[in-house]
Amino acid sequence: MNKRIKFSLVMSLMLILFSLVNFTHTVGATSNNNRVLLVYDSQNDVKNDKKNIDALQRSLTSMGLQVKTIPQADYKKNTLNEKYLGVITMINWRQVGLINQDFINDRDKFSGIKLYIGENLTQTETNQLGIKVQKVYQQQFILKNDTNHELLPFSQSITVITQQAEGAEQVGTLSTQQSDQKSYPFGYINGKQGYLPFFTNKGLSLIVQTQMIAQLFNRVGKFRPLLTITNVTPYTNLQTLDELSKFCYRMEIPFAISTTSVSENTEMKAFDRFTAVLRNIENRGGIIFLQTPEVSSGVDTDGQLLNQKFLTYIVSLARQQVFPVGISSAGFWNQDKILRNNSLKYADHWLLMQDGTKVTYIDQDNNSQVAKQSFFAMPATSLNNVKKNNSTTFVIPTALTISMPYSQKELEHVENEIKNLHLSWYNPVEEGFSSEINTETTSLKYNHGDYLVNGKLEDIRNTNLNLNKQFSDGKSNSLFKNYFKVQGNILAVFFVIIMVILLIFIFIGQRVYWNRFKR
Amino acid sequence: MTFLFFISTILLITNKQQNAPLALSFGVVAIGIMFLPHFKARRMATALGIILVLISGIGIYKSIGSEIVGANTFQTFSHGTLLETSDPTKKIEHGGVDGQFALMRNENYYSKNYATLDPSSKYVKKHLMDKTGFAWIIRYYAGNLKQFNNLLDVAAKDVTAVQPRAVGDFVRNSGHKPGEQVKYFTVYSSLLGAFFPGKYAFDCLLAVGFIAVYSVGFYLDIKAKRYMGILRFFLIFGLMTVVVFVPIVSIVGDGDADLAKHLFLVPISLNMSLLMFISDLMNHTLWNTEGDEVSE
Repeated sequence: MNKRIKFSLVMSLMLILFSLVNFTHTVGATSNNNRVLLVYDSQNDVKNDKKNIDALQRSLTSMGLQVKTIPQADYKKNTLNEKYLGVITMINWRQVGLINQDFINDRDKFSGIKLYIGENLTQTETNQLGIKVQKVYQQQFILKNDTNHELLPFSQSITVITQQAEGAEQVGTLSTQQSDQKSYPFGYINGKQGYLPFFTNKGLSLIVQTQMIAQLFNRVGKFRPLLTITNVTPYTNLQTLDELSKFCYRMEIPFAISTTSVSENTEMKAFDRFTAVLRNIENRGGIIFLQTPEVSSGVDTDGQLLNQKFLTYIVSLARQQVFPVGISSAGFWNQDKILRNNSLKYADHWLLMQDGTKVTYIDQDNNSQVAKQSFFAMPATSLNNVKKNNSTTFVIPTALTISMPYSQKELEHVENEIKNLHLSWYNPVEEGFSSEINTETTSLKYNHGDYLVNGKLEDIRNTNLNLNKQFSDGKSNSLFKNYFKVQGNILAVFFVIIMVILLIFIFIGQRVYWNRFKR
Repeated sequence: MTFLFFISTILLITNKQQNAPLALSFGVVAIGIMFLPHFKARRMATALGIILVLISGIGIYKSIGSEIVGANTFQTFSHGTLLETSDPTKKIEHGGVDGQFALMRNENYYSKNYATLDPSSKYVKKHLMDKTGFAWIIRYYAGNLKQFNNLLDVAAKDVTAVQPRAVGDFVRNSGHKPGEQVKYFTVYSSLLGAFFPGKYAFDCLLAVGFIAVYSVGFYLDIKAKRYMGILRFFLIFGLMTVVVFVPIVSIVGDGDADLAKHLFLVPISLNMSLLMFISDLMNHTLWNTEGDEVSE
């Protein structure tokens, strides 16, 4: 007996030790040099090409790489050092190009991974890459990768590789449209050096680019895409949302939604109804990402308001058994200290979407952090021209987004769109999706389809599927209503009687008064 | 004199878009001028003046920019129709608007920090603001009179605020701190704010009272062919239309957003009427304007 206890004690001690070691190991893996320096020449606001920077930052975040982004003008000597795993140079505006000599020198000396995106390569760069390049003007290229091809937009000029080093890898091919069809490598990797002729934020190019970068940084994974319905708000047409989730459930498509919430008025029927639909989604195998609100102004300089808002969101949703598994936001939230620390930081799963037209920073630090897993969101329509099938996978966790439909007609359109995608979707239950959201007051866990609140397993109650029936006006307070009505009537009658008596008195009094004079 | 009256009236009305409803009140005031003696030739001019005042009111109303119309349409919904009721979800649904928008209660068009959904977005415009036009608001309040009355009571609480607390009294370059206020009449203003009943029905009663009191002078003066009482009656009548209608227009037009600002002319009108009433009492001219004829 005694022996047995001792044995189990030793075993459990060993287990604890093992898990500790394991834990430190995983922590070490994520913090161990996953920092990347991204230096770009210009945001190129004219062509709105900062979207490209945003897409690059998000894809790197999805690879688990922390990105420090610096415009070349702000680059200080010796910023790039051995603390960084790699450096990415991005030429976003050919006409500007790279002019910061400090950066060029530091980069030439740097021995980590180097990626060059765009034109105007320096001599050292081409030497290190071991290539010969040529500028091609006024061309329209076709990008080919495996069986896919995409017609690229007409480009003024593009730098292509005419001669590769031995043992170099190539990701995707660029070929001209002319009869003599010349072809050049698109993504090019030579050991720790890489080159991409450009970086855009959509289509096949985006997929090939991320594949190439993941390969260069040795972060290639195999992920099925997560079907995500975006632009869901508490003001969404709930009937449509409910039907859409029902459709996905019937088609056995696991899905996610990205929804905002409200921090006030949560006692209203409208909020009950909203959360009821979200509960239905949870019961139909959907997972919920809590989307960050829109930043209207930069007044919240210490993040207090945002912090408070998020706590209220999570508590008010959890009270209605709606448990978000992660937080979704536009990419720029990860580039802002205040925004990130008071929202994204609560969750270990993120879903980062393209920046909208309105980007308001509060305290931009361009120092993006990483989560356990962050999904790179791209619109499903951007893959329209890419061949897809059941075995299509992505190298980084990817969410294919579809905007929430409103009307019945739009719903049918979206349903057809989903049907025609013919993809094998990411299934959170099968693939052991396990996430946590921790705030000061609440801890939400999701594990293989189970929801745990503060460590306790929750059974999500089913809601009546007929929304209108469920939320029809109850007559629970009609008893008191009648009471007050009757009381009101009695009072009115009472006052009328008093009025009449008073009038009579006045009349009598007047007569008495006049009669005094008549005498 | 008459000319000056019309010029300053038009200036006052066109000064700010929210003064548009004043055109009606001043139109009423101007009717009094028609009763001036030896005035037949200029009666036409007065009529023209009234028409001009009304046109300036319409003009300034039409000149409101689409951005501000958007803000007003939104805030009259979020700060008006959704207030003073326990749960507006079903109520607005009866009016044909998605009940979910009830969650926008108390939200500003220009959100101060974070917004769940930007009120100036296309979605809100299409599914909410295109539906909740002026006619919708009127229909909604007609169907929810009790709520409307509560809102008017909210407005009535602000009716005495001669000195809105939220804004300063000095111009930017005057060297005073932002938000700093003058100290004149502060005691009077706070006393009135504390003891004046914050009920819209009371304001209406007061208006009826004033009009009734001055209509006696009006009647006597018509009989005696004096003009002072008539002129005064229309002035009071016009000021009382301000007291009665501006709260309604404010609530319908912009809900309780910037209420004190929108109502500013109500306390002015009330106090001016009160001043006139007191001076009439002290000069014994309330119902007897005989003495005035000599001076003119």
